[in-house]
Amino acid sequence: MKKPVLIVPAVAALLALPALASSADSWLHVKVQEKGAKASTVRVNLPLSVIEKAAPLAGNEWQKHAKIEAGDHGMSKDQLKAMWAAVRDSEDAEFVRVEGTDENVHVAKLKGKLVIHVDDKGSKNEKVAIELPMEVADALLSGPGDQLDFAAAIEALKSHGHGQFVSVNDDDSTVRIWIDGHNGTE
Amino acid sequence: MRNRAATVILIVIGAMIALAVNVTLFAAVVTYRAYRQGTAVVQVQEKGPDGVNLWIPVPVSLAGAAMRFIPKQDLPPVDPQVAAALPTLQEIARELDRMPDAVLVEVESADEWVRISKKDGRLVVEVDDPDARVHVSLPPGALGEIASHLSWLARQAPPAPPAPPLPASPPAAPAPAGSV
Repeated sequence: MKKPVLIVPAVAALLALPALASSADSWLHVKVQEKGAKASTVRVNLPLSVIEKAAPLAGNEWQKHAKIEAGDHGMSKDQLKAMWAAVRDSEDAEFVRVEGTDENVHVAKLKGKLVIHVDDKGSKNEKVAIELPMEVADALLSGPGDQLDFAAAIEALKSHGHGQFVSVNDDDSTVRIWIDGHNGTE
Repeated sequence: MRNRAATVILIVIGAMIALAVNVTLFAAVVTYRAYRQGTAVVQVQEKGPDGVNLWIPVPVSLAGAAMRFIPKQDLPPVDPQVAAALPTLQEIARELDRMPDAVLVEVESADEWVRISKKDGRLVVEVDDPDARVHVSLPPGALGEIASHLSWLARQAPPAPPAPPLPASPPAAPAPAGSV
């Protein structure tokens, strides 16, 4: 009769291990590498647990300084939430495809992520790739009023797992933002 | 009899010497560990032939305790925005203490290098530029302790003085006689 009593909590602990490992060991990495003769490199490596604690400070600064702009127009958080809800509730689809001589733009929803690719062939020859998990954007917009809930967004990042979120490559620099389980620099 | 007494005396003296050595060694180890655990270290090495080398150990607890002897009216005011952020800073400090050793921030350019890292449990800031090499090392818990002292200071210090009133605009010069 003792064996089943021991097996159940042991199995539960084993099943919980990956979740515990991913939330305890996830690190946010940012690497900015300038190009050119006097180029500099910036590397930031922070555990998500530290960023989570700093989230209230980010929220306070957002309240004071940030505003949402779309093109030449300002946008309230409620308007952005409504647009986002329409995107979130749709099936996987391509929303925007622009192929021009100066610029290619591709915005789509794919496998639970908002994917944005911009290839600007102008003076700076900029390539931008953003893959934002839907639940992270949901969490960010879930704050009351005009507030962005950075703490909830960090929680969503922790449970989403590892991967690259932002990559920008132009003539002046490359920028990468990603999350993995390593505390080392690249 | 005499030989036995001499042997006993020698044994007792030997045991006392061994005990004294052990106690001294233990005290040295405890003192060193307390020093490592509780002391911030600032090292500055100026470059050039006349460069100055500084090595300044600062016991973090002592610095905080010393603040409590400053008369209340002489305490510097703490910016209200900084005071409001202190509880969050204490949480961040606790989390930094818990995390494993890692390089947190590194900036590398042609003539300057800056690194903030956690090494052997200590928070280390290193700067290497054309003028000097700087190394600041904080023991575990120091950031939280500093935030705690600042919180105490924010509660004790007199409020920041009110902003001085704007100067009154000078009266308009009277128009000269005969003008239109």
